[in-house]
Amino acid sequence: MEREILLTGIGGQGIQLAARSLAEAAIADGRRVQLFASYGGMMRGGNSDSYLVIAEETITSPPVVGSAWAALVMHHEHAAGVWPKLRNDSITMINSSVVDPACRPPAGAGEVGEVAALDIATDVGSAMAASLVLIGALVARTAVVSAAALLDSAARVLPSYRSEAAAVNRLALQAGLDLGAVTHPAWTDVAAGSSR
Amino acid sequence: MTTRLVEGSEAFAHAMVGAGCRFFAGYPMTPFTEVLEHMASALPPVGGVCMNAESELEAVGMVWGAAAAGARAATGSTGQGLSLMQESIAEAALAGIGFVVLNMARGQGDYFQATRGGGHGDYRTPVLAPSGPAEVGELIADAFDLADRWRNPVLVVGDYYMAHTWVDVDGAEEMLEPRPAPAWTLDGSSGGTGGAKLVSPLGTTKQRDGVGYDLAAHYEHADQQRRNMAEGIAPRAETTDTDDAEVVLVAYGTMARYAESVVSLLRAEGRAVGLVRPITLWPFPEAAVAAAAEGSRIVAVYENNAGQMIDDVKLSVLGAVPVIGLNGYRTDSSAFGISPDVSVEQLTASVRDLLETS
Repeated sequence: MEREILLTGIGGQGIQLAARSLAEAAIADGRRVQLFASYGGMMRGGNSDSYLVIAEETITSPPVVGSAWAALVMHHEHAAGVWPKLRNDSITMINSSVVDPACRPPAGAGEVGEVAALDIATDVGSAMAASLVLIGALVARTAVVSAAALLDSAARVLPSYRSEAAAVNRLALQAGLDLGAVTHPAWTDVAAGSSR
Repeated sequence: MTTRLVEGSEAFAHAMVGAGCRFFAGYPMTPFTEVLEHMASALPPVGGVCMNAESELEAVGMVWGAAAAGARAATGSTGQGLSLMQESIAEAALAGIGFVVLNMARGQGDYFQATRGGGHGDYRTPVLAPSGPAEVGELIADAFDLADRWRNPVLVVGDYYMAHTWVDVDGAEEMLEPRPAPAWTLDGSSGGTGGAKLVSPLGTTKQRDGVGYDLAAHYEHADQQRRNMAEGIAPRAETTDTDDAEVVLVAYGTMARYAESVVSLLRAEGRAVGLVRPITLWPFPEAAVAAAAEGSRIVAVYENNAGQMIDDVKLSVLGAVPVIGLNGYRTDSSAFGISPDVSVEQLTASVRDLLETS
């Protein structure tokens, strides 16, 4: 079983950090991982996309996956390419603080979660941690990785010059994780309605 | 055993050090830069040397010096940098000096450069093409073995996707000690010591003073070596679902992974599609391609360029069935070959058209 997660946003929103955190957490959970990052030359404002595959077996997907089980949309600017890839059993998490209300998955694409990630992150003390709120919310609904592994990996993948952000990032992740119980189990051993 | 998340470019570096490479030189250029950075971190702790050269010309020059002195050595760049290195690669082939050259390419536009070479003279270079980080370790080790066995430069072709794809890797991989310097390599002995040797593109047999090189003898020897190498290296390919395939795809490197996805997707619908993935681009796996083409309606070559490998596919199929190119997938502002139309969806649509119309 392969769980393909697309992350899309613009440079500076923490797409790559969020993707690395999920990837490292999946490895800690004992799963196989493939992560391809695509970003433009602009540090801020250019496209920033990640294609993450988490699986129980050896991964066969190409770097840019053809169909996806989940999407995390931090910004609308480059999101259009995501929609055709969503399977009808997919889950999409939208950063509703930022993403244009006109930018939503087509009908029939599966579950959609609206999370005011930027507002929540700002409330806990760091607007830069919005992407972590959103992945926390994805994990709350799916348990695609374990919460403990994610809290641990998010701190480990920070570059040393950002280590002072670890504490507030943890608050942002936890705020996302606290947004509810499992509605869309990622794995057969995860029960709907359970909390992580 | 610890499992780590490793970037593809680190997998290349790790594989080279693991294969006993102890000298590396290069000049930064995306997506080769990351390999160079990882080599700069990995080599000094094991007693190796990594040089950030003034340009690709100096990098390959340093590497053929190190290899002539007995080190397992490697360099690399993107296609642009390899253009600069062609003279040295050609000379090293004539001098019988083996080393590994990475082309962390942008797209697949360097297929001809890799398989034909842009240097002078009558030489060939073996070319290996992994399909992703998971295959890098095995093929890098093979590349160094081929370079030693045939005393010839060997190319390994990667790309932007491979450099920037992170995969989980088991920590406990084999780490080879550097092999002893081969007997033919230079050890610093000069004339009169009895240990002096000659390693040169003009000849490797010492002559008496005043006689000069016997170029005819040297070129004859080099020609025989090249024939032996061409016959001695078994072409490699991976075939998937080709036995009853109506449409046979041929793709190498990362593009083959897109093709694999398309084959499994269409097979799930009961469509007769197969794939041949050349692993050695030279020698080209002609027999595997010809065997797959037999009984098919059409052979379609999927490559991220304007159509280069298709020539080798046509030479393999020899007109038995039509061969067409599914190329031109290169709309890409980054110029790194990661265009949005390199996609499972687009290739699936193209292959569906073939199934319906051919």
